[in-house]
Amino acid sequence: MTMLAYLVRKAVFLAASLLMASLVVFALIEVIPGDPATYMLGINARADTLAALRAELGLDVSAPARYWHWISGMITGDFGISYTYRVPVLDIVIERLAVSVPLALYALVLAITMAFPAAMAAAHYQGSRGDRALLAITQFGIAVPNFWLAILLVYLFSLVLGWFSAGGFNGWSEGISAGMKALTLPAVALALPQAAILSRVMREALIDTMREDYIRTARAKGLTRFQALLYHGFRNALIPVLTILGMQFSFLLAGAIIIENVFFLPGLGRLVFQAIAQRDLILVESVVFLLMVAVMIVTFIVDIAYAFVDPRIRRSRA
Amino acid sequence: MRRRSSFAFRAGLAITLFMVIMAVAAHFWTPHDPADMDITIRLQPPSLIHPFGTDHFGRDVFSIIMAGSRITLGVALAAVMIGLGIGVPLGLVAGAFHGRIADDAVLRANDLIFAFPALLTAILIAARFGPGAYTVIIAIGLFNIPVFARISRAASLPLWHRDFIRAAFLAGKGKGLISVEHILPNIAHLLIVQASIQFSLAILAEAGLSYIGLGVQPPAPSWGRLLADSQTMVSISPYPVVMAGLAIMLTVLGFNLLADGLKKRYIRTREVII
Amino acid sequence: MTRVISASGLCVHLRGTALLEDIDISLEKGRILGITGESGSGKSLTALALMDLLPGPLERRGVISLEGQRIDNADDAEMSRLRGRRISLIFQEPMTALNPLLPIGVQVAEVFRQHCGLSRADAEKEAALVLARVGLPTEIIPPGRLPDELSGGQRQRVVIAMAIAMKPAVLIADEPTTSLDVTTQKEILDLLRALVTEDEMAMILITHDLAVIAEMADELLVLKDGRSLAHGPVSMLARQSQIPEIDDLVAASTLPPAPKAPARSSMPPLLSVSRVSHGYPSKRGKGHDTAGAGNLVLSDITFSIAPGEAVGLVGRSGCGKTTLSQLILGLSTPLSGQITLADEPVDSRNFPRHLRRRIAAVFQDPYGSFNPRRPVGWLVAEPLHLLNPSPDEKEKRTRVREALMAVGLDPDFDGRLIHECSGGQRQRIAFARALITRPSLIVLDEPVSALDAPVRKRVLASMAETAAAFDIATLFISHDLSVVRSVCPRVMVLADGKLVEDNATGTVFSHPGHPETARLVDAAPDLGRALARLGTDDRQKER
Repeated sequence: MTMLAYLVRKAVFLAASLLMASLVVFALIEVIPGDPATYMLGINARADTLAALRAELGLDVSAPARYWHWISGMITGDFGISYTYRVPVLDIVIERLAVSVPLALYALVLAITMAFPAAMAAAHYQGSRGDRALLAITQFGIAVPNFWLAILLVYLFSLVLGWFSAGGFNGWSEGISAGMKALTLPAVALALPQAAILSRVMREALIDTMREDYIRTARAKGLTRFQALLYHGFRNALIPVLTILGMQFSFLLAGAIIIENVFFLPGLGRLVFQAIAQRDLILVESVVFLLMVAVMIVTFIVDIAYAFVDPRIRRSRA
Repeated sequence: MRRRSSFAFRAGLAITLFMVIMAVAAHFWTPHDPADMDITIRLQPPSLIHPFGTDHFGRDVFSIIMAGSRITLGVALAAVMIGLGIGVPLGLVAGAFHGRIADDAVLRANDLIFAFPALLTAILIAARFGPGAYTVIIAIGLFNIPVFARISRAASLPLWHRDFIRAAFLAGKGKGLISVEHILPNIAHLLIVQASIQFSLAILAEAGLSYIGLGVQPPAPSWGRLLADSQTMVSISPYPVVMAGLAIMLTVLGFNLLADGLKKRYIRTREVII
Repeated sequence: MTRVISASGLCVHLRGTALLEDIDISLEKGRILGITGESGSGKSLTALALMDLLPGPLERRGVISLEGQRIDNADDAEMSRLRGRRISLIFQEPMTALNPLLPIGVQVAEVFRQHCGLSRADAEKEAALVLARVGLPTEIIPPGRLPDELSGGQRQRVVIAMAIAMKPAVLIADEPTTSLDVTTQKEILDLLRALVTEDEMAMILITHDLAVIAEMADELLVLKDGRSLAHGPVSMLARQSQIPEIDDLVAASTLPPAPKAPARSSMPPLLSVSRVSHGYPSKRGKGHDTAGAGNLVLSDITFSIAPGEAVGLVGRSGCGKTTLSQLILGLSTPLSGQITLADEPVDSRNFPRHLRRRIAAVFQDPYGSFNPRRPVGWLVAEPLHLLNPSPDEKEKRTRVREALMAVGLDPDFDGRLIHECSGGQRQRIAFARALITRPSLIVLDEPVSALDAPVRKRVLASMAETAAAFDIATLFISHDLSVVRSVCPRVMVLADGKLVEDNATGTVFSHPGHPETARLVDAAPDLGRALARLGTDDRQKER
């Protein structure tokens, strides 16, 4: 199969998965037995308030119609009106996304930059003191909860040393570097445990690859150990690493959402939790679905990257 | 090399057992009632009466840690059980019927569930039905299902081509019996290792979800909650924050070391050639 | 005559234990040195030691010289410059020797880029030339192919291409053909011999197959437990040597001649295969695949086996032997045609127990044939699942022990785990498993191919005798005619999915009726024939 055909096929799967996911989200929020309106207003709500809310939520219309309304609305950019904020969901979400997504990406880049070279060095010098040190450090790194690390970092770098502000984010209007500075501490808190996981996985993948017969062949051809690692080991080791990377982004996004709590960042996280506390189902529904879209798109990108690294993938059934 | 690997295993085992024992013991006794508030002794540093100090409500941190371990370990155990109980059979079925509809169906379902990270699922469930222990268990457990399904399937696929499976077919055995008698015992070691990894991930997830308030609600004690409650007071008394975090980290570390030790013991690898 | 490579006092140690001790080698250009010995005698270690590619904890001592220069004191950078350029090594497993992610052209080109600093385009041009030299020209195999699109023989050719690309002075080949079928083996060995002659290369050929050494090598080094047992011209094999182990080795590698065909019985056939054809949905062709036979793996196969008869089925890999065995065993159903066992149809969709128990199998891979988690007793007893009523534990145990004794093993083997048993023992256990339901027919699919040459004879003989004793018909499937010849009075030849020969073994060997048969006869490693030739050479030299 050519690259293009593979791309198209994967894109179709993506669309199908998005559809399925939207169905599940919709079903869970709106269709599962129990009346959303009662849940939102409480058991003691008056009957006429309940009726008004039901009308507003469109609960008087059938479920499939509501679903269609929701989906078609999303495609045109109409995500409904938030119950609590009384403004279009899209507006709020875009504002918040501009914090959460850059934070997750910043953390991902930091993590990769720290992890890959460390892993390659460790695999190359396997068994050395440096390698064992890396193993020990990362062992702690993967065990540390990132939100705890965040609190400790705030304590150390803001309260004690005063190098960074303790939290808050004033938007990108003040310039990219100011915004990045505000996001640095949170990104580091997210990135360190991720880097620990990534470097362990990459190291293990590289070591496994170095055991393979084709590395022996490469050495017999006259490649040095390092050359064999770089030209043959790295590419093959990338396959399990890509798998992890795809999953890591969704964990990073989740972590970003949690960490916003520590740093009082105006991202999607705080939005969603306030929405839950206020029982604003419309907001929760759309935000959750959007986050899922983000995760699925990243998975799609990873799938494409796979196909570049491993040409055999294009041949087998998806 | 051998000594080092058994060190990791023994350390992991020790920590894990300690945590489990503490959790079980907490069911019967804690030094103080973890919900007992006394504002007059709030934010005290460690002392003989309160080995880990007190939080800003005056509650004994040590007792909260002990009692919280029950929740954390319990949730993690339930979540991993869901993953194993549903995921492994699904994966085995997919492997047994590779290339047919059942396999495709499992793969599609897997992909779908993978799109629902524990946090998002927890948000959905909490938004609709409210937060609590069951919310967290279902959210984490759901995500565990495709993990185990994928491993079971991937590990079982190459086995179906082996001659000893052909021999079993010749002996008149069907795919179901073969899956149980032949496939499962040969992938068990992988599942055990993965289960301990998932266990530590579940502990982190539970802590995170409790931290943001989607987990067990007060007055039930939980490590994540303690962290959330105490973080604003960290400059006055860092002990609750530090202890809660250490508890989480140590437990996760323990299970990871255990997983590493198990992996080294049961999964044989070829020596490095060069 | 120049000495191209020499080693003196070569030793390999692992934490004080000597794995290889005091080995001397001296080889001139254009000459082939054969190194042989049982598994574990240190053959591969010698190759790795010469290349300085020993695994980490192993230490090496001794003086090694390549083209007049000492190389045992070279550091890794210097050795890397020599490897692939002046001295090359090819390994046994072609299936895993190539990087699965890179096209073969790129992997061969890498040699030129590494040693000559060529640009990518130039290197790939050179690579195409080398690939053509080893029998893989661009028209047949485009260099953009990935390794897993190639057969085992083709992959080995790619490995050879990489090894000889820079026309090295020395080529070390460690069991280069052991995992290939005999026809491919002959092709690869012929290729290697041609390359040695054309490039005036010195070659060290490591193999456990004495017939191959006798046919290929000029000099011989026999290893045992890491020490040199004998070192001299290969013709020493043709004479009675003073060393009993070598004589034993020669005797063990010489297979007995074909048994006489018994009188054709008048009983109705036990197994009848009638006009069977089978195929699979289209896949990109691998290696020796049919050009134009479409998707059919087997076409119009017809033959029968009488009760108690021992029949051989021979063909090169990809000819359809395994597919045919799957059909006979009732694991798949043929697209057309019919198979009957004792007049009842064999159909995988509906295979009653009383019929299934009459047919059993022994598979090729002694390691993959058994569930590693179960004890031998459980494994041998598994087919008893077919019996109705199912025997109780006590009876199972008795039958298992009987079966083990019947194949020449101690009945106490039933408590062992399979990884505690050697390859030869495992194949005997496989046979015991096949016997346990007292079948009428046993299908043996390459039963000894994975075993060392000296062990094959014993295991084969034991299987044939036991089958005869119980009056069980056997179908021996193999890619090697010589193996089948010693136990089957009648042999069939399969080529490209068609049955091209079905005759008494003696006749097939002396008067092959089909070109494919002739090829198989020629390719079968025959120590007797090779030794006879050596004896003649020797006598000619003495004159």
